[in-house]
Amino acid sequence: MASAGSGDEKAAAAAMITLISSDNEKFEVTEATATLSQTIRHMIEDGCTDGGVPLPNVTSKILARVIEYCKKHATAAAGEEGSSSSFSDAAFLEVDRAFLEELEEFDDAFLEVDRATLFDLILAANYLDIKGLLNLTCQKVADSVKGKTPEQIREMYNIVNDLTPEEEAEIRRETQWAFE
Amino acid sequence: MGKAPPELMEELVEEVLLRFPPDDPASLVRASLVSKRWCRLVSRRGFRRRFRERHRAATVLGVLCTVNGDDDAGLGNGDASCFVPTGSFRPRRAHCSDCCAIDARHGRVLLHRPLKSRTENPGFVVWDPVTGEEWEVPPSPRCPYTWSAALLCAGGGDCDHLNCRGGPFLVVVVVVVSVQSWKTCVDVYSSEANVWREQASVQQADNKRIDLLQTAGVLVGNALYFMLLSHTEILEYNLCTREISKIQLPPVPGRPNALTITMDDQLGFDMTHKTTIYLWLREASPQGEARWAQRRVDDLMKLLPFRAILGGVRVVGFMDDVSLIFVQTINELFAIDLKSQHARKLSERKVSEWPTWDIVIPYVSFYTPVVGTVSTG
Repeated sequence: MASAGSGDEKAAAAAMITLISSDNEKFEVTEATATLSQTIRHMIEDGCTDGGVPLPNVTSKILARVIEYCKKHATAAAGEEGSSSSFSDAAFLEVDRAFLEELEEFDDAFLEVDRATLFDLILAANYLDIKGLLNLTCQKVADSVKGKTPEQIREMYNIVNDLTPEEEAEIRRETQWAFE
Repeated sequence: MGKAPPELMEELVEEVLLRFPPDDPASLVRASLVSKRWCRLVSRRGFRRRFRERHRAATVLGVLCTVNGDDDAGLGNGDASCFVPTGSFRPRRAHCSDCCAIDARHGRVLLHRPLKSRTENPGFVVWDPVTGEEWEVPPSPRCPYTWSAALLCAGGGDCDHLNCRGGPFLVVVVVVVSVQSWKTCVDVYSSEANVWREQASVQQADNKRIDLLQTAGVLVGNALYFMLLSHTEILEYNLCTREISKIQLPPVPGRPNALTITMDDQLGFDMTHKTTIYLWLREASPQGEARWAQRRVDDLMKLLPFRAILGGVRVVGFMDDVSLIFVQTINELFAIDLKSQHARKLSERKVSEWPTWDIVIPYVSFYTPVVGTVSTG
């Protein structure tokens, strides 16, 4: 009500939300960080975040990683919006590129986890509806299996082969070219 | 370390599989052999649709090559076309049942049966190399002097062409016939109605015959374009107004080769002079008139090994929209990516088997496995 809208925005950005993991650990995050999750965004909109947001599907170990991702990407998003007015176009492009490169490096380092953690991150990204994280983690799994044989994929991800030998032979016969 | 990854819900396995690269179809096939669930997932129609929607741009899976044979009857019949792969994908059969490819669009190929005599009407087959399906088309209604044809999706501009490969199609045939004087006609076959209908017919005012070159037509907006035998003019057929017209190509030092469509839906043609390839585009001038302008220039000397160029080269396919060209040397066929400047040899044959230049029609499509045999248990 007082002065500029930017003051209100700052106040909103500074508003804190408490996230509670399945093992009851509490994480204080800014609203800007938390709303990268569409699930949490909707809860905030519906005013159901008082007393913290319980996330019974996410362990503290995974939630910490998810928050780390959201913090970085929320800063990047804020940086992009904020810098456009204060730089000339050319300078802005420079900053933009530096930002993107930094973000890419962050993402690469972020994905340096074991397979079990990667899968837990996919499940969390899906449950919390964080599009960027879901894309990042699913692409990582896709990249890791695309050159592999079916046997290697099963071993990597602990999948039981329930195809009958006849079914397997049939597929191999029809698509022999894929195994050359 | 050793902790096994948690099992992913089906929708998440699909999210992973949707991110497989469309230019490496073999990886999706191998994934289909992981388990019943993975197999069912990649074989579903819904997966096929979402895979296309996600990647949007289809990949060149191969080229249909036809030796432009000189048979004794002078009918221009070639040998049966064969499918030359550009990547891992192979169709179930590489030869097109004694037919020659004339056009390919939206995942299907238009084949024609070689004519046995001058009194025969061209007959067609539509073939999907990915699914193996074939559609027989009754012979076209006229016996042409020269002709060319194009395969279109019946949905036209209303279809996004991401999943129309099994749907209704049109075969558009432009024929030049002699009825007292020379006439150019357009007959269209609709797979839905299963009939041929005449759509347009023009008497040449100067009674000059139009000689069509038998290569793939190019679809730009609502118009189909065909190269004429002279290589100095092209024929335009407007599918909406049903008008047939001729367009003069600009004077260029070499011979205009094939028509192409650019990324921004512009009509273009390529022309080779010595070892340089030029791309010309039909653009709108500030006054709104169409004019030709030379756009990109590429030097084959920089793109191909020197020994390959020695015996002469010819550009047999130019796909500006994906920056890919196909070049035939004395005994080899190359695909050159103009962006990465990388040349890949697709096929080779003995020099003695080298009759004339090949007709090369790129086959652009998505591949997702079609596995119908796995039980759902």
